[in-house]
Amino acid sequence: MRKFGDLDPLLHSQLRLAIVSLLVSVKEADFSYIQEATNATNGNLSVQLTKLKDAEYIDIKKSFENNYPKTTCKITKKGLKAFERYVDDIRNYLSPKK
Amino acid sequence: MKDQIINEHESLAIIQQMIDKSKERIVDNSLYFYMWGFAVSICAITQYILLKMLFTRTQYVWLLMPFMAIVHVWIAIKREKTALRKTHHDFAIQSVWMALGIAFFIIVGLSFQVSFNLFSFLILLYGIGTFTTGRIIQFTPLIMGGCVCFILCVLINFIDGPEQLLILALSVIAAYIIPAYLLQQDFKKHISTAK
Repeated sequence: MRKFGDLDPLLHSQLRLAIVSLLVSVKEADFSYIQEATNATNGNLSVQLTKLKDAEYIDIKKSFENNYPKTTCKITKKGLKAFERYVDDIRNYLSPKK
Repeated sequence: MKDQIINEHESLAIIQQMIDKSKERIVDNSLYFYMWGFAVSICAITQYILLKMLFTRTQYVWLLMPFMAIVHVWIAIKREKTALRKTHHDFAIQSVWMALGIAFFIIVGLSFQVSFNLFSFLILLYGIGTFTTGRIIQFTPLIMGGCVCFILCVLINFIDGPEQLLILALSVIAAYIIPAYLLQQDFKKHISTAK
């Protein structure tokens, strides 16, 4: 059985877990939608999104809408698998199989 | 929310909180149902009246449809660009209607070459679209509207002449206009209770 300390360190942080959980629930989301849902600051959210992107857990698409930059995020298959594994690990930790 | 280490209970709470937030907003998609519901029913009733007044070439009233398709695509692109999120439900509904849109063009195109009851097939497609959308968003009036279309697509084959146009108009009133009104009311209620 995996120990709690073995949990994916990338997901085992308040804001990154919130971002991934949100992106698992919706197909894709705009930066401002994620910011509103997580109550994160602009800078912190950008940093955490970049970390998740570098790990290939999410895809980030940048475009322009009425001359304003628009950032859309979407979970990848790798991100989804990591999330499922994270949830399984927590479940095992809370009620370990005998 | 900050970038801080959490314990297992907090992890579960965050996951639950985010899943709940994603469910918070329902989208008012009644516009498309209104657009097509009114366009089809107005065209059908107008053609019926013109036929009764013994006009010829009444089929030209349906030229409104390609125009509606262009308006629909334009609104959809605009909405897509400004949407803050897209749920799996939105994607599923969009896919169903895209497939039905293609089917409409194929069936209408085929009707110029092959003889069959075009209205019956169109009503069947309306029914599939509304029934499926109703099931996805769990909205009973749309499911009921779809069921009415399933009945009308059979019934129309036993009715002759211009009266078939009234059945077509009835199908979109039942499957599009009435559910769209109820969907809009439901959305307004949801917004007012959320405030």
